[in-house]
Amino acid sequence: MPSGLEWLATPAFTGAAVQAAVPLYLLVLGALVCERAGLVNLGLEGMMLAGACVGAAIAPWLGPGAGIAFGVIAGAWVALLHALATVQFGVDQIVSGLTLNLVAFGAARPLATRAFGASGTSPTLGHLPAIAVPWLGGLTPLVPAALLIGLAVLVALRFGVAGPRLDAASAAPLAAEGAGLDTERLRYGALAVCGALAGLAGAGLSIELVGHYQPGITQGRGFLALALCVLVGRSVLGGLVAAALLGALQAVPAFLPAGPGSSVLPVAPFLVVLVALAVLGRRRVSRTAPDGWRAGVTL
Amino acid sequence: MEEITATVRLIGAADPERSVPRPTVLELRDAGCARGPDRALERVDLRVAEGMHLLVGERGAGKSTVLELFAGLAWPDRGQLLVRSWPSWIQGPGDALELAIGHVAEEPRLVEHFTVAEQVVLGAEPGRCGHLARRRAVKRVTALASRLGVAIEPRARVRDLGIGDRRLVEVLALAWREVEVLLLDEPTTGLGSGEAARMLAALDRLRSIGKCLLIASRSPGELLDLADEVTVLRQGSSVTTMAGRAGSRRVAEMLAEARQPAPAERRPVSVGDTVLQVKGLWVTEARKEPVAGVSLDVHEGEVHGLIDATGNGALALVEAVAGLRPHDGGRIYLGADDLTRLGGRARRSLGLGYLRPPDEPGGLVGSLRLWENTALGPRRRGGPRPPRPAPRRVLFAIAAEHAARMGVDAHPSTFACQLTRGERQLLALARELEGPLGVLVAACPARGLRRQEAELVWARLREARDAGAAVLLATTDTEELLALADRVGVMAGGRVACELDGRWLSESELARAMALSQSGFLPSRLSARPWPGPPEPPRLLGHVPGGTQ
Amino acid sequence: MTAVGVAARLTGLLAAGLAVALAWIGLVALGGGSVSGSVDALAGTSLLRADSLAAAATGAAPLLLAGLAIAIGLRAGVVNLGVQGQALVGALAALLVQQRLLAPPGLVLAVSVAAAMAAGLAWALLPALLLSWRGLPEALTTVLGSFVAVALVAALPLAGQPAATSPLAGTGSLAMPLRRVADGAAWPSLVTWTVPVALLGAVALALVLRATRVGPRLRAMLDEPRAALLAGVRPGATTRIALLLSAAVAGLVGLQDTLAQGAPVAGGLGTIATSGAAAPLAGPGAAPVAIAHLPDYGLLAVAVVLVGRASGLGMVVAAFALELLDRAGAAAGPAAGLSTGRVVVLQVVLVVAAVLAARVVRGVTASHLARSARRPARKGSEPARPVDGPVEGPVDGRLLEPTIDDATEGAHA
Repeated sequence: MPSGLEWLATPAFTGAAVQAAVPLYLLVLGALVCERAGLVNLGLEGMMLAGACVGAAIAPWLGPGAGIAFGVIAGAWVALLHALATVQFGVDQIVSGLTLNLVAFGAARPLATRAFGASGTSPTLGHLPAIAVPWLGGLTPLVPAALLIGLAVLVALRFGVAGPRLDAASAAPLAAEGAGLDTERLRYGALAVCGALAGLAGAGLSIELVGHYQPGITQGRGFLALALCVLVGRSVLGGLVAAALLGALQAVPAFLPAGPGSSVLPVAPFLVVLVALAVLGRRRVSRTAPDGWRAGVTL
Repeated sequence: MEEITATVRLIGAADPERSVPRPTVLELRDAGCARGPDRALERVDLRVAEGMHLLVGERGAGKSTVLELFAGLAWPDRGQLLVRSWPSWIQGPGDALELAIGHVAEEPRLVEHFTVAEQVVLGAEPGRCGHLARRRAVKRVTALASRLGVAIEPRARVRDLGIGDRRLVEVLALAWREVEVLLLDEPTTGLGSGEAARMLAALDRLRSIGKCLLIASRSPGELLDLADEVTVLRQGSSVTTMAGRAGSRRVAEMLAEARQPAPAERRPVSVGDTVLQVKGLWVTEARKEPVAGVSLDVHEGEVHGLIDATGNGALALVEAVAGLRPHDGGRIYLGADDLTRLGGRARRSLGLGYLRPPDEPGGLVGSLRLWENTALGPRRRGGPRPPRPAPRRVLFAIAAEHAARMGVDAHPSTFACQLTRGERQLLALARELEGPLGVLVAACPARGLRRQEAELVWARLREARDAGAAVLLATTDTEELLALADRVGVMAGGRVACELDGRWLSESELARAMALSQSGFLPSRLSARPWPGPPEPPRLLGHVPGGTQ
Repeated sequence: MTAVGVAARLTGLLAAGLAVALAWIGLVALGGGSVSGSVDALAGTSLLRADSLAAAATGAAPLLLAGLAIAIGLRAGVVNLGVQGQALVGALAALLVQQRLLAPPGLVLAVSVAAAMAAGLAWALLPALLLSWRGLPEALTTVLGSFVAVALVAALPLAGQPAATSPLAGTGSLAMPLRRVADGAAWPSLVTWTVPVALLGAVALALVLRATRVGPRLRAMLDEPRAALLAGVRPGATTRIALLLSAAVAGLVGLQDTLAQGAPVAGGLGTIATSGAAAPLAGPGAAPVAIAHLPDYGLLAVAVVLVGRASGLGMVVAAFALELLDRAGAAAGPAAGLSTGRVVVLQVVLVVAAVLAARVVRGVTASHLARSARRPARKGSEPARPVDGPVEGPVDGRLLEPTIDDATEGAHA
């Protein structure tokens, strides 16, 4: 190993990388579910922020576990608002996603100010009890939880009825309606799952990983997850690998000695994903319903 | 028409089977239905009992709309809809399935990348707790298919199936859901004889196990032999209902007779130079070849019609000529220009006009006003150059002139979605005729239109032809072909199987030519009459042409 | 516009305004304050005088430019969410030109504007290429590019400090006041050049969409792509051009703030992603803002577009309204129940109300259209009969008639 990079193989770095990958992986899972249902969910960032903010607000009072639970509920709630707007009220999906992002960002700031004081930054929050993993040391229980959730999503989509039904609802909604499927309920369900996962990612981020809430904590992870979803297609396993790689990238700045280039390091995940999209992104045959990415926007 | 109706009543009264009443499953009383500005149904009275009930009528008569009323895809704004003698409001396909009513549309609605088994079990999958038991599904689907006498491979992918198999998959799916009423829209239209036979066998099997079948068909053919009852629809109203079998066959043939255009509309025409030349064109689509080395030419002042006996070759051909579909091999010449390498836009600027079927998007844009739609018209080489930016006044005047020319009473500031489909098609035609036109390529120009509007479109196309335009027409409707074409090419298996003189052609001759082409017999000219020939003697009602079929 | 369209549009506007007012009253009541006292405090500020309106216009100009950037893309079906990154690189390029180029002020101004637009355009080249070659959604690629730009710019020392030279010293700048005055704050001196540039852009957008062939062709491209293809519209080239143009306009957004005389947003939507407090509202002679501390124009642009519904006139009103809310918060402060957090909430309420109102307007105009008789070709002849009975229910999950709301907007009666 070249000198100066030995820290790459240490358990500290690997543990940090694995933990950093958790929020991203959960977000990618949510994005995959939405994509399978043929939905465009630009509000993923807002759902994550809702989870982070609500979780950090509840955790000092009721403990980190309750904080995470409320974060999940907050994320699912924002997602259901998105579903209500698009399915019931017929608002365009992209418009609704962007509006919900705005709402989440707009509501999080005053909520944080009220809960944490003028700076909007929360005090250090308590962690969930760590799980001891051989060689990696203590890991947050969110890591095995995320892996289990990923497995559950994989099984449900691959071996369950959810996969074909979502496929039908997105690729041929007329066929789905003709088969008696309630496409509206499928959309609600998919968005609820996506929102819950995003809320869990956000709460996990603020409570477990960063340890406190601050404005701008999400740092574009939601959009990163959407881009990863485009990159890996439908593969849950591919999402895991991609999230792990990006998590490692995000964990690097803490381990490098501070230098002239270190302030540029936050750019690495975005740059890597952009380059990967340019190189590996394929023109995929659109299987989604007409109101997908390429239908234009109706305001 | 009154003579026909009278004859029909006579035949109906003589049929002894009619006196046995059967329980009513579906009923419409004085029903009406609107589709946007079009009035799809006026007054329909319909009683469907168990067994096979056939709805016949011309295109635009409202047959599909009647089916959609029961399927939950359309809603009556007048009259009553009863299911098993209970008034019902069927909001959507889910409601219909709850009432054990299933619908198969003319264009199969399937998920392309599913296997047959996945498609059939969709919505009622075997397995517990959300688990999809794939092997069990395959086994049960195979059993169901063999029970119905349908030979289909459950592991095949839907996208590899032909249209006949796709319709069978939809029928299987309904049988899987154990519906009691099947609504089938044009189940045998567009199928080869083998596929049609399989479909008919399956439908007969379904009827024998007690299902109620309501079938809509433009050209029922052998369905008439199987049907228990036949209802005739005309212009959105039900004309008569009568028992099936031999009597109704005669009715249908008489209806076909009445559709023949009057002899006065046929006239000898002087044909000008060749405008469009197609040489050896190939079009491939998903491992099939709808067009395999077709050559044809179109002259000034002539309508060259194409119809395909086995598939969609004619439509594929004209779409390739218009530049909407890629074509491999072959050349296309418009006058002196070689269009082969050019894209659709360039071809249009050189004088190739394209008229789409009215029920497909691409004519007038509904959300724009008429004068804005004229801004989408073709800019042809040699045509008048509109000032840039085009002032509203100019576009207004153009739109008003188009409307006046086509007889559409609409102010240019009307939105295109406020016009009926026929009016939109007329204005699209006017837009295509603007400027120096080389050849007008029309694909099913009157599909889905009511009878009156279809005749208006045909009249305007004939006017354009009389004024010297060259028209290449592709259609799936034999009536349209007979009404318009001066020369008819029947395609089969990707080639032009035979050429007929369209002006003196009768429907039965065309049907015979298509049947022969389908079966692989490829004579070059079936019509023995010279060009031009003497007019046909007028036909007497009651005389069945062609003797035994 | 049809009469119904205008009426519905105005009603939607009033409804959005009413929603904001009601939300404000609700917030004040929830906070335990007195509503009348808040109203008095608000009325006591000099918000509606000419010079504060002028300062508000100046503050609203970058918002309008940002909204224009997104609207240009949206009209062609392109979602450009990278406005923040493009604004940052544009401001950086303009700053470099200002500091290095020695030339008469007019030339410096022209070159810096051109450099800003070119930089913004360059930042959208990769997303445009990925869109045409790979079909990747530009919403994602522009956002990624924006985050890259934010991170890169934050690392540059140049962007960390505000511009050294004061714009009033004579270098050409968009942030120069329209007329220099020696004495007090008469309103023309509070309006910078960015204001007429932004207004011109809005007018140009409206004219292009309504009075040329471009408007119908774009709408056809979105509503019925096959009709547009037959009409000769090239969707690939059109979307590329729209994305690049949108990014070029976005490059101009940050010029006013970095080259000062701006009035940066204080609190409000633009600063919710940063943890520090923003620069306070300032009058003429304000200090330039460091590029790294520019407000989040991406979020603001989306808000302007959603409230203004991507039309020129609408976005002018929207930008002005959002800026006025900010200024009301800064001027009256907590006494009027308008703390920073509450201003954000009110702005968000405005956006949501506008989106919902737009949806309702769309439904109303569409159903009115389906029901109304159409005008006859000649005056005096009888109008064509409307459909017997209402058109009920969706056919395939969508409205039977296409949404013609954009159509009512794009045409004049």
